[in-house]
Amino acid sequence: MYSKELMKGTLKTIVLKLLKEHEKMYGYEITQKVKDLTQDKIQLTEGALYPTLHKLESLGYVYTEKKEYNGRTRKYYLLTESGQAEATEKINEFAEFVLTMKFIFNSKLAAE
Amino acid sequence: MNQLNSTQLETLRNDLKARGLSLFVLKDELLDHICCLIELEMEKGISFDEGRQIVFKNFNSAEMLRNQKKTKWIYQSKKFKRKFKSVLSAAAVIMLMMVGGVEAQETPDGHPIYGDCELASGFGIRRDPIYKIKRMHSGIDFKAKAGTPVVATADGTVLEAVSNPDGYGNKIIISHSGEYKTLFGHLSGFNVKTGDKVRKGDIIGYVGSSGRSSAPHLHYEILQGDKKINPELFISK
Repeated sequence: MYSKELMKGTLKTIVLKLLKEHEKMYGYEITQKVKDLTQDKIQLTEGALYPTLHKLESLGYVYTEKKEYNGRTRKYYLLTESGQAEATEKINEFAEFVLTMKFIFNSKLAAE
Repeated sequence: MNQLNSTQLETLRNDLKARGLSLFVLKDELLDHICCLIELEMEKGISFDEGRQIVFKNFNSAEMLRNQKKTKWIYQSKKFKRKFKSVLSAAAVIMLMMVGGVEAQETPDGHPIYGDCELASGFGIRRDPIYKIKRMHSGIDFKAKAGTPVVATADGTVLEAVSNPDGYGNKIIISHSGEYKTLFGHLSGFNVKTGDKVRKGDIIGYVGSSGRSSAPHLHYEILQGDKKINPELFISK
Protein backbone atom coordinates (compact mmCIF):
# COMPACT_ATOMS: atom_id res chain seq x y z
CA MET A 1 0.00 0.00 0.00
CA TYR A 2 1.09 3.52 -0.73
CA SER A 3 0.92 6.55 1.50
CA LYS A 4 -2.32 8.41 1.99
CA GLU A 5 -0.82 11.57 0.49
CA LEU A 6 0.14 9.80 -2.71
CA MET A 7 -3.24 8.10 -2.99
CA LYS A 8 -5.10 11.32 -2.34
CA GLY A 9 -3.65 12.92 -5.44
CA THR A 10 -4.19 9.94 -7.72
CA LEU A 11 -7.53 8.50 -6.72
CA LYS A 12 -9.49 10.76 -9.00
CA THR A 13 -7.28 9.85 -11.94
CA ILE A 14 -7.60 6.15 -11.21
CA VAL A 15 -11.38 6.33 -11.05
CA LEU A 16 -11.65 8.41 -14.22
CA LYS A 17 -9.29 6.06 -16.07
CA LEU A 18 -11.33 3.00 -15.10
CA LEU A 19 -14.62 4.61 -15.99
CA LYS A 20 -13.17 5.62 -19.34
CA GLU A 21 -12.33 2.01 -20.12
CA HIS A 22 -15.52 0.49 -18.79
CA GLU A 23 -18.87 1.79 -19.77
CA LYS A 24 -20.21 1.72 -16.24
CA MET A 25 -18.97 0.50 -12.90
CA TYR A 26 -20.28 0.32 -9.37
CA GLY A 27 -18.21 1.11 -6.30
CA TYR A 28 -17.28 -2.38 -5.23
CA GLU A 29 -16.40 -3.28 -8.81
CA ILE A 30 -13.96 -0.36 -8.94
CA THR A 31 -12.20 -1.43 -5.74
CA GLN A 32 -11.89 -5.01 -7.04
CA LYS A 33 -10.63 -3.89 -10.43
CA VAL A 34 -7.96 -1.68 -8.88
CA LYS A 35 -6.98 -4.46 -6.53
CA ASP A 36 -6.62 -6.93 -9.40
CA LEU A 37 -4.80 -4.56 -11.73
CA THR A 38 -2.27 -3.51 -9.10
CA GLN A 39 -1.88 -6.99 -7.63
CA ASP A 40 -3.20 -5.79 -4.28
CA LYS A 41 -0.76 -2.90 -4.13
CA ILE A 42 -3.57 -0.39 -4.24
CA GLN A 43 -6.61 -1.23 -2.16
CA LEU A 44 -9.17 1.52 -2.28
CA THR A 45 -11.13 1.91 0.91
CA GLU A 46 -14.84 2.61 0.78
CA GLY A 47 -14.17 5.71 2.82
CA ALA A 48 -11.95 7.11 0.11
CA LEU A 49 -13.71 5.83 -2.99
CA TYR A 50 -17.28 6.94 -2.42
CA PRO A 51 -16.49 10.54 -1.53
CA THR A 52 -14.37 10.70 -4.69
CA LEU A 53 -17.24 9.37 -6.78
CA HIS A 54 -19.66 11.80 -5.20
CA LYS A 55 -17.27 14.64 -5.73
CA LEU A 56 -16.95 13.71 -9.42
CA GLU A 57 -20.70 13.56 -9.64
CA SER A 58 -21.09 16.97 -8.08
CA LEU A 59 -18.59 18.34 -10.61
CA GLY A 60 -20.64 16.87 -13.44
CA TYR A 61 -17.96 14.41 -14.56
CA VAL A 62 -20.00 11.32 -13.81
CA TYR A 63 -23.63 10.44 -13.61
CA THR A 64 -25.30 7.46 -12.02
CA GLU A 65 -27.69 4.72 -12.95
CA LYS A 66 -29.49 2.66 -10.36
CA LYS A 67 -30.37 -0.97 -10.93
CA GLU A 68 -32.10 -3.44 -8.70
CA TYR A 69 -29.87 -6.36 -7.96
CA ASN A 70 -31.09 -9.19 -5.72
CA GLY A 71 -33.29 -6.95 -3.63
CA ARG A 72 -30.70 -4.25 -3.21
CA THR A 73 -29.90 -1.15 -5.21
CA ARG A 74 -26.74 -1.10 -7.25
CA LYS A 75 -25.47 2.29 -8.26
CA TYR A 76 -23.44 2.45 -11.47
CA TYR A 77 -21.20 5.35 -12.35
CA LEU A 78 -20.76 6.54 -15.94
CA LEU A 79 -18.67 9.31 -17.42
CA THR A 80 -20.42 12.36 -18.80
CA GLU A 81 -19.06 14.15 -21.85
CA SER A 82 -17.08 16.58 -19.73
CA GLY A 83 -16.00 13.59 -17.65
CA GLN A 84 -14.52 11.99 -20.77
CA ALA A 85 -12.53 15.13 -21.45
CA GLU A 86 -11.47 15.40 -17.82
CA ALA A 87 -10.39 11.74 -17.84
CA THR A 88 -8.21 12.25 -20.92
CA GLU A 89 -6.70 15.35 -19.39
CA LYS A 90 -6.00 13.70 -16.05
CA ILE A 91 -4.54 10.58 -17.67
CA ASN A 92 -2.23 12.64 -19.90
CA GLU A 93 -1.22 14.85 -17.03
CA PHE A 94 -0.36 11.88 -14.90
CA ALA A 95 1.58 10.11 -17.65
CA GLU A 96 3.61 13.24 -18.12
CA PHE A 97 4.06 13.57 -14.38
CA VAL A 98 5.46 10.05 -14.17
CA LEU A 99 7.86 10.88 -16.97
CA THR A 100 8.97 14.06 -15.23
CA MET A 101 9.47 12.19 -11.98
CA LYS A 102 11.67 9.76 -13.88
CA PHE A 103 13.85 12.67 -15.02
CA ILE A 104 14.29 13.70 -11.43
CA PHE A 105 15.21 10.24 -10.25
CA ASN A 106 17.45 9.54 -13.21
CA SER A 107 19.31 12.80 -12.76
CA LYS A 108 19.80 11.98 -9.12
CA LEU A 109 21.19 8.60 -10.07
CA ALA A 110 23.45 10.21 -12.68
CA ALA A 111 24.75 12.69 -10.10
CA GLU A 112 25.64 9.92 -7.74
CA MET B 1 -22.55 -17.49 -6.32
CA ASN B 2 -23.89 -16.80 -2.88
CA GLN B 3 -26.76 -14.35 -2.98
CA LEU B 4 -27.87 -12.72 0.22
CA ASN B 5 -31.55 -13.02 1.05
CA SER B 6 -33.84 -10.25 2.21
CA THR B 7 -33.46 -11.10 5.91
CA GLN B 8 -29.71 -10.87 5.59
CA LEU B 9 -30.05 -7.57 3.73
CA GLU B 10 -32.21 -6.24 6.54
CA THR B 11 -29.59 -7.32 9.08
CA LEU B 12 -26.90 -5.45 7.18
CA ARG B 13 -29.10 -2.41 6.76
CA ASN B 14 -29.47 -2.29 10.52
CA ASP B 15 -25.72 -2.82 10.97
CA LEU B 16 -25.03 0.26 8.89
CA LYS B 17 -27.74 2.22 10.61
CA ALA B 18 -26.26 1.29 14.00
CA ARG B 19 -22.96 2.75 12.83
CA GLY B 20 -24.62 5.98 11.80
CA LEU B 21 -24.11 5.23 8.13
CA SER B 22 -27.50 5.93 6.71
CA LEU B 23 -27.00 9.03 4.64
CA PHE B 24 -29.52 8.96 1.80
CA VAL B 25 -27.01 9.18 -1.01
CA LEU B 26 -24.66 6.65 0.49
CA LYS B 27 -26.68 3.98 2.21
CA ASP B 28 -27.77 2.05 -0.87
CA GLU B 29 -24.36 1.77 -2.43
CA LEU B 30 -22.73 1.12 0.89
CA LEU B 31 -25.14 -1.72 1.52
CA ASP B 32 -24.39 -3.11 -1.93
CA HIS B 33 -20.69 -2.79 -1.23
CA ILE B 34 -20.91 -4.62 2.10
CA CYS B 35 -23.05 -7.31 0.49
CA CYS B 36 -20.45 -7.84 -2.23
CA LEU B 37 -17.69 -8.13 0.36
CA ILE B 38 -19.66 -10.64 2.41
CA GLU B 39 -20.60 -12.64 -0.68
CA LEU B 40 -16.92 -12.78 -1.55
CA GLU B 41 -16.15 -14.16 1.90
CA MET B 42 -19.01 -16.64 1.64
CA GLU B 43 -17.59 -17.95 -1.60
CA LYS B 44 -14.71 -19.21 0.47
CA GLY B 45 -17.23 -21.47 2.16
CA ILE B 46 -18.04 -19.60 5.35
CA SER B 47 -21.42 -18.61 6.71
CA PHE B 48 -23.17 -15.26 6.38
CA ASP B 49 -22.60 -14.43 10.04
CA GLU B 50 -18.89 -15.22 9.86
CA GLY B 51 -18.55 -13.22 6.68
CA ARG B 52 -20.44 -10.36 8.23
CA GLN B 53 -18.09 -10.36 11.22
CA ILE B 54 -14.98 -10.39 9.04
CA VAL B 55 -16.21 -7.64 6.79
CA PHE B 56 -17.25 -5.32 9.58
CA LYS B 57 -13.99 -6.01 11.40
CA ASN B 58 -12.07 -4.74 8.40
CA PHE B 59 -14.54 -2.01 7.69
CA ASN B 60 -13.34 1.39 8.77
CA SER B 61 -16.55 2.83 10.13
CA ALA B 62 -14.85 5.88 11.56
CA GLU B 63 -13.33 6.84 8.21
CA MET B 64 -16.62 6.14 6.50
CA LEU B 65 -18.44 8.31 9.01
CA ARG B 66 -16.02 11.16 8.46
CA ASN B 67 -16.44 10.84 4.75
CA GLN B 68 -20.15 10.56 5.03
CA LYS B 69 -20.01 14.04 6.50
CA LYS B 70 -17.87 15.12 3.56
CA THR B 71 -20.32 13.58 1.12
CA LYS B 72 -23.16 15.26 2.89
CA TRP B 73 -21.28 18.49 2.58
CA ILE B 74 -20.62 17.94 -1.13
CA TYR B 75 -24.30 17.42 -1.71
CA GLN B 76 -25.34 20.30 0.47
CA SER B 77 -22.81 22.59 -1.14
CA LYS B 78 -24.05 21.44 -4.51
CA LYS B 79 -27.51 22.43 -3.44
CA PHE B 80 -26.10 25.61 -1.99
CA LYS B 81 -24.21 26.35 -5.20
CA ARG B 82 -27.39 25.85 -7.15
CA LYS B 83 -29.14 28.25 -4.81
CA PHE B 84 -26.19 30.59 -4.98
CA LYS B 85 -26.26 30.45 -8.76
CA SER B 86 -29.92 31.41 -8.82
CA VAL B 87 -29.27 34.22 -6.35
CA LEU B 88 -26.33 35.28 -8.48
CA SER B 89 -28.34 35.32 -11.67
CA ALA B 90 -31.07 37.26 -9.92
CA ALA B 91 -28.43 39.72 -8.77
CA ALA B 92 -27.12 39.92 -12.34
CA VAL B 93 -30.58 40.73 -13.59
CA ILE B 94 -30.94 43.43 -10.96
CA MET B 95 -27.50 44.79 -11.85
CA LEU B 96 -28.47 44.85 -15.51
CA MET B 97 -31.64 46.64 -14.62
CA MET B 98 -29.65 49.10 -12.56
CA VAL B 99 -27.12 49.65 -15.35
CA GLY B 100 -30.00 50.01 -17.76
CA GLY B 101 -31.59 52.26 -15.17
CA VAL B 102 -28.54 54.50 -15.06
CA GLU B 103 -28.90 55.00 -18.77
CA ALA B 104 -32.58 55.63 -18.40
CA GLN B 105 -32.17 57.62 -15.22
CA GLU B 106 -29.62 60.35 -14.66
CA THR B 107 -29.57 61.31 -11.01
CA PRO B 108 -28.43 64.87 -10.45
CA ASP B 109 -25.90 64.17 -7.73
CA GLY B 110 -23.28 66.74 -8.67
CA HIS B 111 -22.63 70.08 -6.98
CA PRO B 112 -24.04 72.96 -9.05
CA ILE B 113 -21.25 75.43 -8.26
CA TYR B 114 -17.72 75.21 -9.50
CA GLY B 115 -15.85 77.35 -6.99
CA ASP B 116 -16.28 78.89 -3.56
CA CYS B 117 -19.77 79.11 -2.20
CA GLU B 118 -21.76 78.56 0.92
CA LEU B 119 -25.16 77.14 1.46
CA ALA B 120 -27.16 80.21 2.43
CA SER B 121 -30.66 78.89 2.59
CA GLY B 122 -32.04 75.40 2.75
CA PHE B 123 -35.15 73.72 1.40
CA GLY B 124 -38.49 74.12 3.08
CA ILE B 125 -40.65 76.69 4.81
CA ARG B 126 -38.69 79.83 5.60
CA ARG B 127 -39.24 83.52 6.16
CA ASP B 128 -38.96 84.99 2.69
CA PRO B 129 -36.07 87.45 2.58
CA ILE B 130 -37.95 89.80 0.26
CA TYR B 131 -41.64 89.36 1.08
CA LYS B 132 -40.80 88.92 4.80
CA ILE B 133 -43.46 86.24 5.22
CA LYS B 134 -43.28 82.51 5.79
CA ARG B 135 -43.09 80.84 2.41
CA MET B 136 -42.04 77.61 0.94
CA HIS B 137 -38.48 77.65 -0.39
CA SER B 138 -38.57 75.10 -3.12
CA GLY B 139 -34.83 74.86 -3.64
CA ILE B 140 -31.58 75.73 -1.99
CA ASP B 141 -29.51 78.91 -2.22
CA PHE B 142 -25.76 79.03 -2.55
CA LYS B 143 -24.11 82.32 -1.79
CA ALA B 144 -21.23 82.86 -4.20
CA LYS B 145 -19.43 85.71 -5.95
CA ALA B 146 -21.15 86.91 -9.11
CA GLY B 147 -19.57 85.19 -12.09
CA THR B 148 -18.77 81.96 -10.26
CA PRO B 149 -19.36 79.11 -12.77
CA VAL B 150 -22.53 77.08 -12.43
CA VAL B 151 -22.31 73.53 -13.73
CA ALA B 152 -24.68 70.76 -14.77
CA THR B 153 -25.22 68.29 -11.94
CA ALA B 154 -25.89 65.38 -14.32
CA ASP B 155 -25.95 64.68 -18.04
CA GLY B 156 -29.00 66.11 -19.74
CA THR B 157 -30.57 68.47 -22.24
CA VAL B 158 -31.19 72.15 -21.71
CA LEU B 159 -34.96 72.51 -21.65
CA GLU B 160 -34.91 76.23 -21.08
CA ALA B 161 -32.24 78.91 -20.90
CA VAL B 162 -34.35 82.02 -20.64
CA SER B 163 -34.47 85.42 -19.03
CA ASN B 164 -37.33 85.90 -16.67
CA PRO B 165 -37.19 89.34 -15.10
CA ASP B 166 -39.47 88.35 -12.23
CA GLY B 167 -38.82 85.46 -10.00
CA TYR B 168 -35.96 83.31 -11.17
CA GLY B 169 -34.31 85.89 -13.41
CA ASN B 170 -31.95 84.23 -15.85
CA LYS B 171 -33.03 80.66 -15.52
CA ILE B 172 -31.84 77.33 -16.87
CA ILE B 173 -33.81 74.13 -16.67
CA ILE B 174 -32.07 70.92 -17.60
CA SER B 175 -33.97 67.76 -18.30
CA HIS B 176 -32.20 64.56 -17.32
CA SER B 177 -33.14 61.24 -18.80
CA GLY B 178 -35.66 59.70 -16.46
CA GLU B 179 -37.75 61.66 -14.05
CA TYR B 180 -35.43 64.44 -12.89
CA LYS B 181 -35.09 68.06 -13.94
CA THR B 182 -32.79 70.64 -12.42
CA LEU B 183 -33.37 74.38 -12.25
CA PHE B 184 -30.77 77.12 -11.83
CA GLY B 185 -31.95 80.65 -11.05
CA HIS B 186 -30.70 84.24 -10.76
CA LEU B 187 -27.80 83.65 -13.15
CA SER B 188 -25.72 86.54 -14.45
CA GLY B 189 -25.17 84.84 -17.78
CA PHE B 190 -25.67 81.71 -19.87
CA ASN B 191 -23.10 79.38 -21.33
CA VAL B 192 -25.71 77.16 -23.01
CA LYS B 193 -28.85 77.64 -25.01
CA THR B 194 -32.13 75.78 -25.14
CA GLY B 195 -31.73 72.38 -26.71
CA ASP B 196 -28.02 71.96 -25.90
CA LYS B 197 -26.85 68.63 -24.62
CA VAL B 198 -24.80 68.96 -21.48
CA ARG B 199 -22.58 66.58 -19.54
CA LYS B 200 -22.30 66.53 -15.80
CA GLY B 201 -19.77 69.22 -14.79
CA ASP B 202 -20.21 71.34 -17.93
CA ILE B 203 -20.38 75.06 -17.20
CA ILE B 204 -23.88 76.15 -18.08
CA GLY B 205 -23.90 79.69 -16.68
CA TYR B 206 -22.67 82.03 -13.96
CA VAL B 207 -23.84 83.08 -10.54
CA GLY B 208 -25.70 86.40 -10.53
CA SER B 209 -28.51 88.31 -8.90
CA SER B 210 -31.05 88.52 -11.71
CA GLY B 211 -34.77 88.26 -10.97
CA ARG B 212 -36.16 88.40 -7.47
CA SER B 213 -32.84 88.46 -5.67
CA SER B 214 -31.12 90.75 -3.21
CA ALA B 215 -27.55 89.51 -3.61
CA PRO B 216 -25.55 87.20 -5.93
CA HIS B 217 -26.52 83.64 -5.27
CA LEU B 218 -27.59 80.51 -7.08
CA HIS B 219 -31.05 79.17 -6.52
CA TYR B 220 -30.97 75.48 -7.28
CA GLU B 221 -33.95 73.14 -7.55
CA ILE B 222 -34.43 69.49 -8.35
CA LEU B 223 -37.76 68.38 -9.72
CA GLN B 224 -38.90 64.80 -9.70
CA GLY B 225 -41.68 64.94 -12.23
CA ASP B 226 -43.49 68.07 -11.08
CA LYS B 227 -42.56 67.67 -7.46
CA LYS B 228 -39.78 69.81 -6.06
CA ILE B 229 -37.50 67.88 -3.78
CA ASN B 230 -34.68 68.81 -1.45
CA PRO B 231 -31.46 69.01 -3.51
CA GLU B 232 -29.35 68.59 -0.40
CA LEU B 233 -30.37 64.95 -0.41
CA PHE B 234 -28.79 64.51 -3.84
CA ILE B 235 -25.55 66.43 -3.87
CA SER B 236 -22.79 63.93 -3.28
CA LYS B 237 -19.84 65.68 -4.87
